[in-house]
Amino acid sequence: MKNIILYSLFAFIIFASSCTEVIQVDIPASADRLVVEGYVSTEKDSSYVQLSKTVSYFSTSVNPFVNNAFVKVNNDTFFYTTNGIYRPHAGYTGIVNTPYYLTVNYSGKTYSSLSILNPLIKIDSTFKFIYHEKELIAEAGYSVSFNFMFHDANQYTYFRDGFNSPKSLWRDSLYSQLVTFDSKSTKYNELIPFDVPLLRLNANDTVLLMFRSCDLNAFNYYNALSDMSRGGSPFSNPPANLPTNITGGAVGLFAAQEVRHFRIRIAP
Amino acid sequence: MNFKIHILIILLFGTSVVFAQQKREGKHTLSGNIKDAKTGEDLIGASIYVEELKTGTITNTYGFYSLSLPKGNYSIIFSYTGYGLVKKQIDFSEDHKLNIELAEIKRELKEVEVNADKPDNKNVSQTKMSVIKLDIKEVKKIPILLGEVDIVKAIQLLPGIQAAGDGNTLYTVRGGNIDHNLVLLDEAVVYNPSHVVGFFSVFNGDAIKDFEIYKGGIPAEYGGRLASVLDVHLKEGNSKEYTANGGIGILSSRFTFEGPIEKNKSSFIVSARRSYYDLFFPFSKDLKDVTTYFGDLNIKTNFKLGEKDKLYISGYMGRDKIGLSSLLGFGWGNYTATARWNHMFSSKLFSNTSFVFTNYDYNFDLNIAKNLNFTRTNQITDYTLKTDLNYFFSPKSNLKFGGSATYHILDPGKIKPITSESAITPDALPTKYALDYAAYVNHKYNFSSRLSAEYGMRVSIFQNIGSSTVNQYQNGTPNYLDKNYGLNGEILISNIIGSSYYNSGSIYNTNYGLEPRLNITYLVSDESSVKVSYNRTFQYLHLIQTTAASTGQEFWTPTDTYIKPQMADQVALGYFRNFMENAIEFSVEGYYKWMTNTVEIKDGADLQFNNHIETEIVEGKGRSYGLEFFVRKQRGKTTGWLSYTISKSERQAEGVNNGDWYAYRFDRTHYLTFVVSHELSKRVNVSANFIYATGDSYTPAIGSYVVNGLQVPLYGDRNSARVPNYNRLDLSVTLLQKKTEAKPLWLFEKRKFEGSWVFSVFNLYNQHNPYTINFKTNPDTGANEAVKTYLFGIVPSVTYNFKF
Repeated sequence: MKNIILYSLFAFIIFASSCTEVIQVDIPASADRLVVEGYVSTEKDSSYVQLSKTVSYFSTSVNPFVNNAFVKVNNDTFFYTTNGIYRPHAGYTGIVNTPYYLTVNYSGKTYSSLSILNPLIKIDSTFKFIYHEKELIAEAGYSVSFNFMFHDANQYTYFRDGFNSPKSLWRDSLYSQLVTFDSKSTKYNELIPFDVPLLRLNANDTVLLMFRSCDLNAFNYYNALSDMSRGGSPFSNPPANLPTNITGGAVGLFAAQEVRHFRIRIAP
Repeated sequence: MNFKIHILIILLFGTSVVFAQQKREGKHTLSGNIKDAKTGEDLIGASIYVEELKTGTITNTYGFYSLSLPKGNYSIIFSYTGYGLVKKQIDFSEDHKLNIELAEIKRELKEVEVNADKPDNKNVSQTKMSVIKLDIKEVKKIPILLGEVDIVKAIQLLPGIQAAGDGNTLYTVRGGNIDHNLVLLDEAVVYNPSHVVGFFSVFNGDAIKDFEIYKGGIPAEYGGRLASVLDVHLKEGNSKEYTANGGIGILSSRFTFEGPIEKNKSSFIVSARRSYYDLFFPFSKDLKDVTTYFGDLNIKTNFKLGEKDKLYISGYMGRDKIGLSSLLGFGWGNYTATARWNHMFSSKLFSNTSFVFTNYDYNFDLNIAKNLNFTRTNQITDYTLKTDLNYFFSPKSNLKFGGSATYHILDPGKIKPITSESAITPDALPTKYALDYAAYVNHKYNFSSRLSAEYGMRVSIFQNIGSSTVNQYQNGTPNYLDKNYGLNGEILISNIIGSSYYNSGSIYNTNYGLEPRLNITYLVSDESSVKVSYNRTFQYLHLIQTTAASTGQEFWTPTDTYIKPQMADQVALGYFRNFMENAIEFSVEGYYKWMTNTVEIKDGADLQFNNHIETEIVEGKGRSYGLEFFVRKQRGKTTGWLSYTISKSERQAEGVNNGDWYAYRFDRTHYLTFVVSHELSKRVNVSANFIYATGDSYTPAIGSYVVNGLQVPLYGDRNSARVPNYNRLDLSVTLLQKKTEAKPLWLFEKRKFEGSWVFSVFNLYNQHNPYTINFKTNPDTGANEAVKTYLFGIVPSVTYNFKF
């Protein structure tokens, strides 16, 4: 349970009185790299591979999508659809405990990856909503808590949430919370209660809770992504590229995942 | 190896020859202590000079001296920088014991025995190079951040020593890492010399008697770190009268009380500091929930147990705490205790035996919710027993030898829930135990009136002790290079394939090192000399730290089965020249340093609560070289120095930048400092310092891409770009009040009240020097930006100091 430790919160607190300025810096030129974002999901017709390319850091142009690659996962060819996205045949569903091999042929180079579709931890679907007054850095509202269970000592998963409120539109993305779990510091074969950190909802809001299993590579990737998204500071670790499990010099991630969604309405 | 053993044999043989010669010549010995006439404090490094023979010696760390001369009548001059000298005619037809008290120079002193203080040529003639000693009184004149007198900030203005970030007390020496510096407080290792995430050091200027820093030519008595030794000695306390002094600043205050326990025989000193800047936080919108403070306490006492024995007991306690309401917090503390027993076996053989305790700990608390909270702690504890002996053969020959044994206990991490509802289960990484032994011999010998040398050998042994579980890795290494993955076609992979268990008390891993040390000085004339030095150093404890600021998150880890001891070899050559009858000192030193087995952190390393830390670091190499120019004027109304260093420091490690050499983070090609202090009148003093430095190296973002809906940077090679150059001017004005006499009160018999106001401005022209550069996407515009964080603009402060 590592990522719930919001170390970089310090940076904001301690250096709230320090100052920042946008500056001009010269950066070395870089060659374009292939960006791979691929998922094999246990949800029917949810698997895809998206290909794009990097751009120079200060470039104002949009990252170009790649539409002329050959993409294969195990023996299934993924076909180009739109926006750099390649999808398999209709009805495609990932199978738990299966290794998935990705091969991408693009511009005369081959990129490959392997991900094991591990089973998801057990989620007890009895969710609790408790009203809290405003405390510390959390607003007033309903918290969401649930129970989960690891089955063995080397399980990894991550969790995201999104919610809609009668007053706001659905969020397109689910990056308000990203919590990774491993079984290192956690009891297993025992239900563990968990409050989604700092999440506070209003009555009648609908919350979407999404759990995905992952392997160690994806776990490390999401931890690094979460660190990176919190931004750098004098207290941050030195900058480092996101890890990748793609060979051949591409960036990104290929992950096979068991997925469960829970959509719940907060009843007053 | 045979070659090394031969060196040791020659060294020991040479020493015994000198011993035998000494016996045959039938000399007589003058010995004793040199003290401050006003306070009774021992004076370290005071000079004892024989006029007729143009030779002499100096006092050791305890103010003791011993001088053996052939039968005869000699004029002996006792002197110390800033003090009037004393001249005595001594008949060396028998052994004498003579304690001398030197008076600090005051304009009103006109005693017959006290002559005017004259600058000496010690910097030219001493058989040492790459060592600098600053007078604590000079340090107090230097304008410092928030007016807090700080010896560490002062040494950062010297050549070859550079701050690890704006306003930071952590420092690097001659291209070494932050943890390559041995910091000693009365012989106790201080593992984290920082307060307030590095903005202040743990050293309270009011409690410090003396300090010096070695950045090369390190004597054999010191060991355990690669780059430097900062040796700080606390005051013993005034053994003649009770005095008190202190300072009241905007953000912190300090108070020191000292006096005799038994007049001229034993004394004590108690000195404390406490910050209170958190009192202002409620007025800040951003900081209103922040709690932060530091405090420290120095205590020292000494007892004269007889003519030949003296006991010193000293201790330091310091604590930092930073927190945000009850949500989160962290803190750290250093605790040291030293008991030292001086014994004079004879007028020539002086010994000191010390028992030293050191503890450094930190805690990190997080309390997000009732069922999501924990506290994590980490600590290192040392118990050291050491003996140092000093045999004064003659003014030509001085032998030091001794040994030490340290038991290290390292708790790399414990985690436990704060409340019983917490989902976090208690856990602890296994405690690591190690024994660290060392023995050394160091001989200083004047071959002629012009040629002198100090040479020695240190033998260090480091043993890991069970109980312990040692992982076994694929390919026999915790990191092997996989050529399939990684942005540049290679990545470091770790794969545990098993483990071995070692029982409690069993020694499962031993490392050792032979560390030769050498200093040679050749006096070209009384005003100039050429010096050369070589030293090899080993380091068995390594600081795992990724941030420049000290946050308490960093931790120490020992050399073990996979982490090798770091080793450095350094050669230095210097030319020293004094001008205007030693009033102006000039030196230029060039050095080259090789480092092996340096500890380099892997990209994106996971360092927190990691039970196999060896998988997150890689073995590296380092090299640094440079030229240091130094001009100093220590006497007169205008004092100060100008220092310029041109240098390069690089690292190389498998899996980092494809194994190519890259710039060390604090590699600064140019580093210029200028420190000046001018006495405008008897009561007004103005001081200023200026720093100019090449910007630090950093890792730039060279590209960007989108994954998971987020725009993320693609970073280039490690440390392949430079932040803008650094420059800063600080200024301070000290106004001394007239001394006033008051009636005796309580213990204070002769009450003279002295007060002074110190007005200082840090960063006078409000330069926004970068602390870090981060690459972020502007949430409003969506554009990628390089964002500079700077910590300090102009920072004025005022402190009122008093003494009575």
